[in-house]
Amino acid sequence: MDGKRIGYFIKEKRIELGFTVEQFAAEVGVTRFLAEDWENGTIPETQHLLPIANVLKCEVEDLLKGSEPPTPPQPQEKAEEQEERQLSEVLPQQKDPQKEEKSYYEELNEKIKDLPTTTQASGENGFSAADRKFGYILLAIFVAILLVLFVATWGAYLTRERNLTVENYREYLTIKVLSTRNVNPDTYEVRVTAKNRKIYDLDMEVGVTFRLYGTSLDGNGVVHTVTFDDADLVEGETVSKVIHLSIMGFECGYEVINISGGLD
Amino acid sequence: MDDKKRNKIFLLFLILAEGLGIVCNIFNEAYIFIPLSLAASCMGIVIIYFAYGLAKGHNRTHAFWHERDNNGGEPSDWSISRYKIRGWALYIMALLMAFVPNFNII
Repeated sequence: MDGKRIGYFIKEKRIELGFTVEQFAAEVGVTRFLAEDWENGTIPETQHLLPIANVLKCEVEDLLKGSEPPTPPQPQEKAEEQEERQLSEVLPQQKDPQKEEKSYYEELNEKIKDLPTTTQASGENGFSAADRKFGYILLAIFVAILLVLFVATWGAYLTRERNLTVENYREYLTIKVLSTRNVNPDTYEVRVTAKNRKIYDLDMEVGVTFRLYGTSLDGNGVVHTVTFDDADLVEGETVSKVIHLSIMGFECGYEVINISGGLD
Repeated sequence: MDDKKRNKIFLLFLILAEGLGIVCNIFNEAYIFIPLSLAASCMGIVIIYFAYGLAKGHNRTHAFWHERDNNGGEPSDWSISRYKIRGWALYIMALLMAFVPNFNII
């Protein structure tokens, strides 16, 4: 809130309505000196705002907003402006009905509308030079990684193991010995499953050790040998052989005695 | 060489790289990644190419609900870049899907 702006607004409106300072002060209900103080830049008290607005026939909002006091005129324009001002004080002001109706926000909106706007397109669809540069680098890295992987994969394929031996069979085969009966087990199954490679012409001899019921614990147990001949297995495929014991017994481990076969 | 021709060649390279990725997936029998990779790369390329249009469209829809700026709906460089980054992220994800089976990540 600017006291000078408010003061100028009060003075302007008072002259516009044809009031003297005394008349204006009397209408508002204050002394002439207080009215002069307001015109000279003192901000009116809150209780006086509504009476002033009523007398000046304006909104309190407009009163508080005030109006711009004129800048001191340049020497060459001084006489001309003084004349104009005198004329304006004497002659009744022509009121612009449109201007009076407009609120502060409407005026603000009009100002925003008048701001310069960008109408030219700031870009266009398509790949930019930076896109292409980044893309080519990315694609080069991608192809390089693919090549490395390709070489590594083919290198591993060409140098792969091709025969099963007693030393390497664990990598390619899973052997399990399971009883087919949970109570009084006397029948066992030996299952051989190919893990991750195709195996052909598998010949294998597996010795399974059992401790038979009634034999002493410090003995060596009984060894049953199972033989697989010319078995062909794909990944995940299983072949099995069954062992029948004469009496109930417990499996104590197995050993691959002999193995041969081709790896795909 | 004009920009249109450069764009066409670049687009061809992008498609070729994606094709290599799919071949890699086929060799690794990772068929589940093929549609995912294709979808991601297509979306990525479209977003990168039409980043300006998408950013402008976003500005328009934003102006529909919010106060308009005095920029005439033109997107800023930053808003275009955001779409480009999203597009590239999708495309890179599509390329990475070619490597996933090789490294036994899943």
